[in-house]
Amino acid sequence: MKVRVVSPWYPDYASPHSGIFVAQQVTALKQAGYDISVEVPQIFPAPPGIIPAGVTSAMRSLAAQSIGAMFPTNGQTTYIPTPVPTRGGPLGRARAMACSMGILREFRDDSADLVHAHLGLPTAWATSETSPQLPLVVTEHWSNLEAVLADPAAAAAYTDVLRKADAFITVSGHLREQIVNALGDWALERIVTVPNIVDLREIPFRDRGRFEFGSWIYVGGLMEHKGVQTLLRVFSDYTSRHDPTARLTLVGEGPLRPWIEMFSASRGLADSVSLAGPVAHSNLGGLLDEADVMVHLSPFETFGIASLEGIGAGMPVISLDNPGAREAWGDIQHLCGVMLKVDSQPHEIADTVAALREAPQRMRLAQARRVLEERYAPDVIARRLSEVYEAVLT
Amino acid sequence: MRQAALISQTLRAHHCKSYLMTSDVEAVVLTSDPQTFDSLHDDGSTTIINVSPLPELLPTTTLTRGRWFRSILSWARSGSNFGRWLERTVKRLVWRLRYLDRFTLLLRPLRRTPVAVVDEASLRGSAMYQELMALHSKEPFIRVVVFDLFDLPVAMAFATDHNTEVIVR
Repeated sequence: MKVRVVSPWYPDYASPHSGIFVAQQVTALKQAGYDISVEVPQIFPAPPGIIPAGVTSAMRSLAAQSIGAMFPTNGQTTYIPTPVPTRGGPLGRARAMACSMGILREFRDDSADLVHAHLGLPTAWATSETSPQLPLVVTEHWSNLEAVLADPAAAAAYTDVLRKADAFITVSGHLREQIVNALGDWALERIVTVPNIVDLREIPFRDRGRFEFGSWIYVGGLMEHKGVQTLLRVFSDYTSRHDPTARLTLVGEGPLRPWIEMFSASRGLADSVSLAGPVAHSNLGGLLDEADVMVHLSPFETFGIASLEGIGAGMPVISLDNPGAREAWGDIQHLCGVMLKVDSQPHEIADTVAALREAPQRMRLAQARRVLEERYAPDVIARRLSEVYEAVLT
Repeated sequence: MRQAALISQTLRAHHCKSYLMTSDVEAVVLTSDPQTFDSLHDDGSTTIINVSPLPELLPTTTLTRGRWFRSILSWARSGSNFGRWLERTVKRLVWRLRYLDRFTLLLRPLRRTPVAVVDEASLRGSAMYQELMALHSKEPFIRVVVFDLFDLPVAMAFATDHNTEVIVR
């Protein structure tokens, strides 16, 4: 079966970690025997207003001369440069993507058995405009979805996509609830939940025996909404009251890097906090292996892959009770970690880590890893997607 | 052997830098904001040239506003608690104003400056084209790499006149 995957989130030469979860799904589907091509609409930010006709006609001229010059290709992946006016909102982005995807379609045939678009808006909407004849499967992952659906025009377009889609997937039940709350109960029966892949094959499990909690790790964007500032405050409190020798490694990149450096220096933690920067998924296992505990204090997650990888590596995870974590591993937290109330104070979180350190070891992390493999392994998710595809085509 | 990298608006500077850092070919970057590419001067294989953006295509106020915004953001994120509070407050305010902003959608078409029709003559008279031509006459470019699609019309005009490859990255 020939499947075209369309996703604005996908690794490229400048952002090799972007959309890694979509890339993992593509790999799993290929291994399951699907013939997959990928199209990646890439946002080229433009000033507000209308894109000048000169720009779109130049795009068309270049594509006519050389399709690869206009639309960079890497194997079966094609990137679609898309001029997107700022302040256009999700619907503006969708229209811009439809325009660029339309130019590509003028020069490349539209053959596929079905198209699988990631994100209802902008991608699925743009895909349904440019390839209306193809069966459409949509996967929604966007943690910002609630804000998107608060806009009436975007909600109307989203409704249109949901009605047109032959299958509509969310990666968590929480996202499905958000859609139903915004659009109405009719949406419930149109949505199925298929989670993201958690690929633990490159992450070795280490039986830690005793948990010393001397080496903390965080994996994710260095951004405010990920709770990174709270994490630094918790760590500062923990080192001053419980264990001055503890270390914290932050894996990832983001705008809070200077703040973290400044905060660490001001609290005398410059030698205890290390910023590892972005790390390829294949190298993550080594860093996880060196850590004792993963601390993730994001108040909201759609799915929370990093925490699941931490559990898979055999370390307890301290997390806030956000919807993604609750759904992904809430039922097995007694085996692998602690979920704290979202409004927990830094000293309470630090005390929880300390209490866990002092308490008798009750974790069953090997068992937790087995549960995660049964739920989220690449072949498990590929099989579930395969069922969706087969249902669409029969 | 060298290539030209066109990036009037620097919002994709990260892509441009990543591309040039992995390219073996010497490059000349033509941009309206050379400061963004300061870090590229270190390796000596890249030259940065300041070029005024095409007035027909690019409202310069957007670039100026963007540059100011980035400077303020960079200061706010430098580690002070006041900066962090300020960023959070401004973001909340902007978020609330978004809803109010819907009413201004009705007025926006009235105040939008119509985009001029870009003819071949104005493209060839642009500062970007003239700079490309001057550089090319000294040492020919093997290709023009476009990182800002608003520079594509100039790149295409240049490529037509000088038989040079154009790619978008």
